[in-house]
Amino acid sequence: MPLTLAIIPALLVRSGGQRFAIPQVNLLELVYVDDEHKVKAIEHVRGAAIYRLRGEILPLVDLDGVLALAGAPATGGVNIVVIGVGARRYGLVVDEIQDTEEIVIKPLHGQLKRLACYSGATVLGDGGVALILEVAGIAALAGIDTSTRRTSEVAAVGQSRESEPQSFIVFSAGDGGQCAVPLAMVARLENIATNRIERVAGVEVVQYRDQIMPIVRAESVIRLGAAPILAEQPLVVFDFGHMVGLAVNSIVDVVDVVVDPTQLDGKTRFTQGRTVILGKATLILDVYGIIRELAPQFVRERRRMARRPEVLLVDDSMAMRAALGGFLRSVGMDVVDVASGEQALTELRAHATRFDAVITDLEMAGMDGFDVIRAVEAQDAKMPVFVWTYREDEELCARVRAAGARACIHKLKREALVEAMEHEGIVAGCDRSAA
Amino acid sequence: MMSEPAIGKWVSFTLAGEVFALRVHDVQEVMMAQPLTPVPLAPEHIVGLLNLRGQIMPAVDLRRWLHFAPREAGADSRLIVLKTHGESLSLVVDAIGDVLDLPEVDWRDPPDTLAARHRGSVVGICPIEGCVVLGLDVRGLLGDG
Repeated sequence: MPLTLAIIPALLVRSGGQRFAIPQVNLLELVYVDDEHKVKAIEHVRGAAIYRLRGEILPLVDLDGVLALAGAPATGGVNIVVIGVGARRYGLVVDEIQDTEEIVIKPLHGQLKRLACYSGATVLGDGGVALILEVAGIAALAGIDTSTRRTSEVAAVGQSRESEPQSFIVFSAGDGGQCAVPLAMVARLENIATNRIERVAGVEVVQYRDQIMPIVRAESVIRLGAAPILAEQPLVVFDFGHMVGLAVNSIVDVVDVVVDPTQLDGKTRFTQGRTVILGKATLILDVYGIIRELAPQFVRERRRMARRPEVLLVDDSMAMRAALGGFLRSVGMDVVDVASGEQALTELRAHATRFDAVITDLEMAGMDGFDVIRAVEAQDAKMPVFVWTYREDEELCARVRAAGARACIHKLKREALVEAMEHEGIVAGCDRSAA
Repeated sequence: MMSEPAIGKWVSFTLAGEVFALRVHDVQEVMMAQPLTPVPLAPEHIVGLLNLRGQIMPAVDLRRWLHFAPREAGADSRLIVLKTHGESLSLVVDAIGDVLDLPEVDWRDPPDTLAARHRGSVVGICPIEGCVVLGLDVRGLLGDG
């Protein structure tokens, strides 16, 4: 039995006497502030609650409040679920943190689809029903702007996005030179005690989340000068199939800047080039190149095709995008995902020759799947479009194909989707053993 | 239109003392009240999600949908699971009545005095002994919410 794509790991939380599931892909960490410290730790800026997480200001969103739940009066400690959505983070305050569970995403009825705060519902082990939170929708209810789109593929970085601002994480490395990497590539930021760093076969490593994570230092391939020895080593963690930590001196900031790759000077094997960020000359690192050089055994070998096929995935559910996107990447594709047909069109117009295929959901607010099929055809008649939907309706599928889609695939049959793409020659020779 | 054998068969139920009916072929099953999971911020008539043998569907309280007075706390209710082609839906009603044989010829147009909100879902009225049955069309119920 192939694993169905709609199964995702999720954290169960309780608020207002009711259980909710938060997809693990959105979770960064859990923070508990005990009763004694909460008055000091949770500050209020003009009525908005914030929490300082290792120097970063985290806006707090009270789940009881945004969902208008009958919340219990705040007694005891505060449970904060730190959520990452695009380049933004926020802390979701819930009454109780329960277990993690593998859940099956079931779509909500059309009459509930306009509630952007849920991506579906699921039946829990005990037979109860829990709503699955769409963290971007919850953020929107709380007034947090999360529109910064996230692409998570290495190859995409620095080659496109000529005019859109991109979020960069800015840090100092070596003897203090300022460097930056696109935030979308970063998995986490960590501070680890320097005495936890070990050396194995010439590579610095640290035991991290049940893995041996190699640590690479940009100054060993780029002339940046020797880094000072710190008691606590800040790491920018990347995940290229294996976690890799980039040692930095300190994190400076996260900034949105427009970087035109053609205007960067000083491109090398290990840098995208140099630009000015926050008033300082800043090296934009090619992290993939650095890690490939310094810790090649930890980078999953890319497929030996001239180019990985790249698909544009359109679905209004972040959880579904994460679930299918992860699967498609695992079988050797690059994926750019967007939340609406409108965003898909913008992406296609900006990068006419970039994509090999479009995969779209059918039922979406604004442009629906049929609109996407028509719009893509108007843009590029040869671009194959695949529709994936929860609807099991032969007549509907026939209409989808008549509209020009190459195939209409049920969302539970992601293997069939890849087969259909193989059939169309899009993923021929794709290495699926990695899945 | 082909006439179906069951076309004259209706399932009756009550809401605040009034008698309503749905076509038998629109009804999948009828059951006792079930625990429902509330959906915060949902339209008021959607009172929760029902887990029917692993299938999740919203439950629409017909009293709220039709703007009746709310059911008294603790009052008994029943669920009607609709037979739909796409997404499943269930209805919360006060009590289930009988399966009635109501031939097409006995049906009358709903009076103009029915509120516009009801007019979309009430397909007709059918006088029977002692009362008038309001026939509901599920498509009207499933339409714009």
